[in-house]
Amino acid sequence: MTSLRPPVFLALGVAGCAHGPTPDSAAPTDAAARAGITAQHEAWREAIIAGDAARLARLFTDDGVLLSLNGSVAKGRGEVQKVLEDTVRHARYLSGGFTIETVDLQGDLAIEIAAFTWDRSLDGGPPTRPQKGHALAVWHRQPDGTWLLRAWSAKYDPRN
Amino acid sequence: MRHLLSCAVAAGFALACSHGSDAVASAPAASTESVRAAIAANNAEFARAIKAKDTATLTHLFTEDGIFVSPAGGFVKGWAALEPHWVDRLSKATFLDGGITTDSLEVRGDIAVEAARFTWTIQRGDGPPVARTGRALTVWQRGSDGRWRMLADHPEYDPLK
Repeated sequence: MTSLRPPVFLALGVAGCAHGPTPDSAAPTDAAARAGITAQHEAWREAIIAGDAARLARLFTDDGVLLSLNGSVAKGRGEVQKVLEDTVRHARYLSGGFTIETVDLQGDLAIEIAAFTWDRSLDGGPPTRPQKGHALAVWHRQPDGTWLLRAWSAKYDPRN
Repeated sequence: MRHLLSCAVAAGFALACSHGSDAVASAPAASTESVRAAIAANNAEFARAIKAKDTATLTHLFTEDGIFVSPAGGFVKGWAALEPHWVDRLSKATFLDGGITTDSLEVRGDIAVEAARFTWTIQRGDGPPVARTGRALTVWQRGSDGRWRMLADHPEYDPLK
């Protein structure tokens, strides 16, 4: 949180321009980034409970990277979607969601630590009961102001 | 590297002004290859330090407010929390061998996003050494001194086979 160089640079640059940027190209505020990321968390929650891997994959940039729980590193939306299809084939997500732990805004990138809790049914089995975990996410703000995942790595905490 | 940082500032300024190229001279930012080399050197230093239980070096490979998402669960943030974390972790385990290899790297100004793979041979207590593989997502930040440090690191072991 302490490193504010990119926004400061951008602010300096904007100050030096006669016309300034359009609203969508302005440096995002911390609050705006948190709101945008929270909206994507909700989109993720809805998509994974629906078992919709294509919707989940659309939360990634075209060249997004997913470090999955099975040890694979998927690069690009196509590979990411395949991994997510495998995930929702084996796990039905019953309830849960994300909360933001920290966000470090670096220009049009936001580095987030998220906490999550999911109650799942694995391969048709009984609910696992809520399991907690943490994720590191690198979000990239798009020209339309939405935030997409440039990189995502998540894991469940040891049984809690 | 200080020169490179100045260049990044200038480039950022120039990009913010769609018309302005007269007032500020821009210069190319650090090449991806030079960043890759710097991060490979840091990864090698990390491997040396973890094998030597050099907790001070491990800690300072992070930014002052850097975050380590621990394989043991949760996360620790900042040098003041990182150092005791490493002391505790390395009091329970010895990293005998291994290292980190960059899988992919994207550089955006003073930020680099790395996906890496690692292999470690770890001994816990008097137990036998165990070889583990894993992957890590690491966000690096170039400081005002030109050095790349970890802003966030999330390693995770592959499932045991």
